[in-house]
Amino acid sequence: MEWIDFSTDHESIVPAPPGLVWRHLVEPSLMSQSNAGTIVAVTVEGQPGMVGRSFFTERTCERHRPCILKTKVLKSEPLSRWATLTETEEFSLRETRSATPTAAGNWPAWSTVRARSWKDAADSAMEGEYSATNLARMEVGKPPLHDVVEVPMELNHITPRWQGGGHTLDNLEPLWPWEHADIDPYRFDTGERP
Amino acid sequence: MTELNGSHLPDGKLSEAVRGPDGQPAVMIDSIVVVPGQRVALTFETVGPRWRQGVFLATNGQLMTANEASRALVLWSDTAPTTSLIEIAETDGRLVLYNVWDSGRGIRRFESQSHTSGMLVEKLADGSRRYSCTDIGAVPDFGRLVFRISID
Repeated sequence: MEWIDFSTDHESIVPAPPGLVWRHLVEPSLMSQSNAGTIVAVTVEGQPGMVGRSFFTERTCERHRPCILKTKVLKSEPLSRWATLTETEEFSLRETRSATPTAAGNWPAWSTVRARSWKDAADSAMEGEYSATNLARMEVGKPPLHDVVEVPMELNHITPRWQGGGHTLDNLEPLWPWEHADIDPYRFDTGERP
Repeated sequence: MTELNGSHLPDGKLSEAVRGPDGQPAVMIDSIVVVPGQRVALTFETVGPRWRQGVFLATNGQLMTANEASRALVLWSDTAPTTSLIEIAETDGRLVLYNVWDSGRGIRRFESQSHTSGMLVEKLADGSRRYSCTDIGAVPDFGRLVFRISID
């Protein structure tokens, strides 16, 4: 391995839940092929401004051999998004568990996608975003309840299913029921609202 | 401005998790009594640097702003005028409002009503109301967004 000067404006989306990716980036025991053959390991702290080392395979490096790049964290939301400057290289991590096929290779049912989405949201939650009770619900695939109104959060299909929108992360957004009703008047209404 | 239309609005609610620096209650959802024909002026006073901030307003009826009618809308501090005028065209008597924000994670078009969100509401001498908002965080920062509402 060697330190080299390197510059690129490449952006990568890592196809894994952010919590898993984060651990693969910062826990030595998990450092492995974590970014489509590009990043082998990253040894940086998670805080913006900190500088660490990224190990790259030969495919990324100008000299076509494994190398270590100086990496500076530009912004960091652990378990959610992680962007670094490796000279000009930036990586954005986004969770995709919701869109992952089942072990049998089938597209998951809506109930499965919904449960995965709440688990993803728990993984990427910021401190104070959800109560401990709600995080516990989400970690087992249940939606959070509004702290005061006590109704469950809902998932809106940004592009409706009838218009071809899928159960993919990019097409799902969590909303409170009255917000969901305001955006999608055809949403499935599960009952009385406050 | 994001326009919405729908129903099932909640009533005003206090936060159970967040209070002001002097222990004063923080409002999660505010509900103001309004009648048709009234005009609401919303003025953004200060916006913190953390991320994008806005306000969700809705009524069971119709709000008019910029010649467009909708039941609910979101005004963003970085795209709306400093002061926006909203006419209450039709209403059931309640204008519901609360702070929204965009943390930049791309998870939804606007985020709202987190465990630690709340608004300190100050009633001013001229009858207007100033809202100082905090959104996500273990330590409340009611300077994330400050806006004022006055109703004619």
